[in-house]
Amino acid sequence: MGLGEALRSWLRVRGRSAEHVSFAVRRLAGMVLALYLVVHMVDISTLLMGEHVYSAFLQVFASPIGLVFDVVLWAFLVLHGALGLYSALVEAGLLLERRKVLLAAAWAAALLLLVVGIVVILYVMG
Amino acid sequence: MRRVVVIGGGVTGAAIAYDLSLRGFRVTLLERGSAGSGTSGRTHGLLHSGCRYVADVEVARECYSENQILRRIAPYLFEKNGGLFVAITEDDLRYKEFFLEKCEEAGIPVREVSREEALRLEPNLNPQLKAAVVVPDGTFDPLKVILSFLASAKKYGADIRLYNEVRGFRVGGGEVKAVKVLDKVSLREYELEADFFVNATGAWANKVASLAGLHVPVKPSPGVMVALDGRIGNMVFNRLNKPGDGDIIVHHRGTSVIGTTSWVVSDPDEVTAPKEHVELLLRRGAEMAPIVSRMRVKAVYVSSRPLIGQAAQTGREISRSFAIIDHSSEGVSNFFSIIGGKFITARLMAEKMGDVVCEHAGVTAPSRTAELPLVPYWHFYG
Amino acid sequence: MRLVVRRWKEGWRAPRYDVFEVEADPSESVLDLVERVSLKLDPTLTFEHACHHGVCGACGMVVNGVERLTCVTRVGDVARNGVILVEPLHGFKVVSDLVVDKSRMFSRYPDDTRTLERVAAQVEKLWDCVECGICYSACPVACSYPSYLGPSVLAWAFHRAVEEGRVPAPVASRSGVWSCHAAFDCSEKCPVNFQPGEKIMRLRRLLLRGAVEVV
Repeated sequence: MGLGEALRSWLRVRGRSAEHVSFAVRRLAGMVLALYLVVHMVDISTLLMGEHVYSAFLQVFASPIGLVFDVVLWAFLVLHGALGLYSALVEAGLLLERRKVLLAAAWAAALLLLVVGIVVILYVMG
Repeated sequence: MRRVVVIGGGVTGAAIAYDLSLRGFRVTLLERGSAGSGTSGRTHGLLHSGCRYVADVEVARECYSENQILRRIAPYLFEKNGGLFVAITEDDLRYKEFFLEKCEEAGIPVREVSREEALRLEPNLNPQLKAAVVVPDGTFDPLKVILSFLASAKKYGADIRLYNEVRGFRVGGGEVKAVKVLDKVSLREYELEADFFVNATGAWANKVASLAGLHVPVKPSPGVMVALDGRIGNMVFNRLNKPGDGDIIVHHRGTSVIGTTSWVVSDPDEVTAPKEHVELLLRRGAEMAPIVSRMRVKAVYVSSRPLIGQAAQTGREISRSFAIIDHSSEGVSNFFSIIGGKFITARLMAEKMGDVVCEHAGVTAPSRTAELPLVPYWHFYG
Repeated sequence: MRLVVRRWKEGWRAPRYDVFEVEADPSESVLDLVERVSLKLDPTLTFEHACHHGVCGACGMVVNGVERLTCVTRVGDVARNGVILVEPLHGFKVVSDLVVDKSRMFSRYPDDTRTLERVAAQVEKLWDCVECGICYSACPVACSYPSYLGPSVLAWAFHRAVEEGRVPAPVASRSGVWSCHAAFDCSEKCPVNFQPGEKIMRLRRLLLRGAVEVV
């Protein structure tokens, strides 16, 4: 089983149910966040090269492209969190009869948090 | 070791492969499609008590005896909930005395129950029913029975070749020398030599035999079945009367199947379900269980019985017992065809076919399929 | 009607897609269509089928991207612009064309013969699971983790756990219930609503509560 094949089966969306698509989104978000963690480690490691290097690096994220990056990152974070909470509950065998309602609630919560986050990023920080 | 090629991967071919493997033959089974993809897979799935055939006591007795053997060798394959024969009309009621008498003659244990008792057992039956008799019917998932016979044959060394279609024979010196096969998995054609050839292709028996220049008097007789989206009972519902169209409802897993009709065709590969048969089945089914008219139809399918052809006009009058055709009168000494029979008499048909092959091969081993437990179907895989 | 079939035979480097033009009635099943193509147009087309009424589980395929039991799937319900694409199930090794090798499912059965459930004191019936393998094809874990026991086998294990109070060790291991990740497409695609996803989670709950013994 190659990585490509595994990725294709995880991220399959054609003809999939909302549950499967949610699984795909959760997994994709998880992978992106894991990659970001690596980027973040590199990012804070620049402190070792001096404060001015770190500050220059931070400036990149204050640019419009940086803000878009932040929004995307936030989207993945809330999706991973909300869908993860849904999955943690049902995976422990809780609320199984109401799992569709729970999943809808998870998506609603994620979208709400996403909007709040965008407002904060664009108006407060931007 | 003597080599036998069995043609046909339905229940009969599977049972023959098992019987002959047990008797020490080296068996290769050839099937053009998947296991049970012809007639056997498409049966309504009734483990006959024999009561349906009481007009011919011998056939009924044979049926009941096989019913008991199958329950013993593979209890896990059958829903053993019994069946009910119900009288709805005065005409049905007039058949009752004859029916009970014949069941007794055939040695089938049946029990008449009151209308209230019948409705308690099966609440979806027509509340207007006039009489009811409990019989030892059962039901099954046809594929799993076939696969169990194949798994058992495999255990004793049989080589099961699905998707291997017979394209012709090499005949010479009063014998079939080899069979020409197309392997559809690798798209390779090959020849397979053997000492004996058994044609267990049922409704297709004449099509296959004619490839060797031989003739089999089989009358493919299709029947339509209608599967409902839901299960309306547990015991098999039979109409208490002479066998006819739409007089049986069989339940298994999540569905109930109304069967069946009957006509005769020349080519079992050219069959579709006539719309009026579906309507007839639904109407007749609703006479036994009114709920039928309120249910959605999940599937309509047709299956061609391999009836033994004589002078009969329609399928219904032809004997339902089986025949083994030794083609030596046509100048070929090692080729046998088997037609007729019912799904649940396949083991007995295989035993008799095995006896014929053994006689020709000078082998004295007796059939053991009635004693040994069947190997469960999942062992067919892996 | 245009039937597109994914073909692959032993020794081919890559699959190919064959297009067949066939007359079809919208009320026919997809399986009827495939069978007709195999009888009239291409006898080398291989596929699995037996009961034609949704009880045997042989004819599971991927139809226009969705796993279905083709004998109970009507042409009119799934055709898109007069086209139906049929492919073999995912998650299993392809044997030939639409035929897959289901041994990864059948070889994991407990080696005894309890295939009947008791629904009342006197009534027995076969389990509703038709053993079609559709849940494997729908499951992202089964498709990426070959030693995963798989949805239907674990659902059976749940029923056994409830009856007997114990489960075999592999069921409670990483290749068993703990690999499920709640994609629930097994339950969504199951043609008989056997709910393997829910049953796996219920079995986890039993294990977490220590209500079943691992043997």
